[in-house]
Amino acid sequence: MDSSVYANKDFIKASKRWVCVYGSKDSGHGTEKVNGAEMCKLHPQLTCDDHMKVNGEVSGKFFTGTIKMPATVWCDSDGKEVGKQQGALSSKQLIEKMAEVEKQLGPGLGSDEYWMAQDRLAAGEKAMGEAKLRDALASFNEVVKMEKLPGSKAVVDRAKAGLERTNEMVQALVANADEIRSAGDLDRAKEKYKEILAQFRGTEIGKKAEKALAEMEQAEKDKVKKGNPPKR
Amino acid sequence: MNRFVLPVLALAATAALAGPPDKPAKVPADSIKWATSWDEAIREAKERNVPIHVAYHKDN
Repeated sequence: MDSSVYANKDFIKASKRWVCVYGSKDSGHGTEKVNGAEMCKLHPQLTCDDHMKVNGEVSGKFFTGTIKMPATVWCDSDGKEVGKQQGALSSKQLIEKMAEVEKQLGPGLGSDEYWMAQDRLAAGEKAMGEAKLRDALASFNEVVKMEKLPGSKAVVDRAKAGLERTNEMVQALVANADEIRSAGDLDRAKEKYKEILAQFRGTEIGKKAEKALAEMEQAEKDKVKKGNPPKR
Repeated sequence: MNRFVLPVLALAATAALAGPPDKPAKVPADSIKWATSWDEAIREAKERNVPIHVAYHKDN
């Protein structure tokens, strides 16, 4: 099955609707270098240590006694067995069995979409950490757009929490600039509004910053006209 | 320090510490993405609401 099934493009496509686990206690098949790391020659996404460790984790879980290898177990998302088979299956048989289980359990989030969401969530967190708040909002919003996909609730909830935290940071930036302005430190307030504008031009927040800057400039002009230059 | 700066810094620090779950090494689009542990498989399956396929093998 290693070469006949797991390399089959139809099986690979079906596998994206599942989480796949591979256990083998053997390592005699050898390794190959992938991006500088020694990976399993049969499944270069894993190290041999990975599949030997997984084998230890699952070996007594679903079978007792001697097993006719290869063997396959299908579980629900909680890890509860819903079917199993000893002996080899063709790609077609395997895909049919998987489709049956999927029908019972209902649709979930595809692995491509899930890992794309993980990537965007990580980008959002990184941008927040670097105070690139508009980038953070964009990354989190990409995930929120997945809301209608089945099984997306967990990642979308995390994105919404990220958006909320980012928006709090944006509001704090504006409040900070407003407070500096109220305290009369006009040059520093201008800098703060300009920083906000640089990130949020064209948005509601950007418009607030633009309005504040315009008001401050107008006030300065008015004072100059009256022969009373603004205090620095 | 202005009283608004501290909350902003605290939020940024929280965001930096809250990191995402472990991401797998780059997997080619035309291959199976195997979970590297049973716990990881359960966590991902619950998050995605998808079933788990467990394959037991041995070398020939």
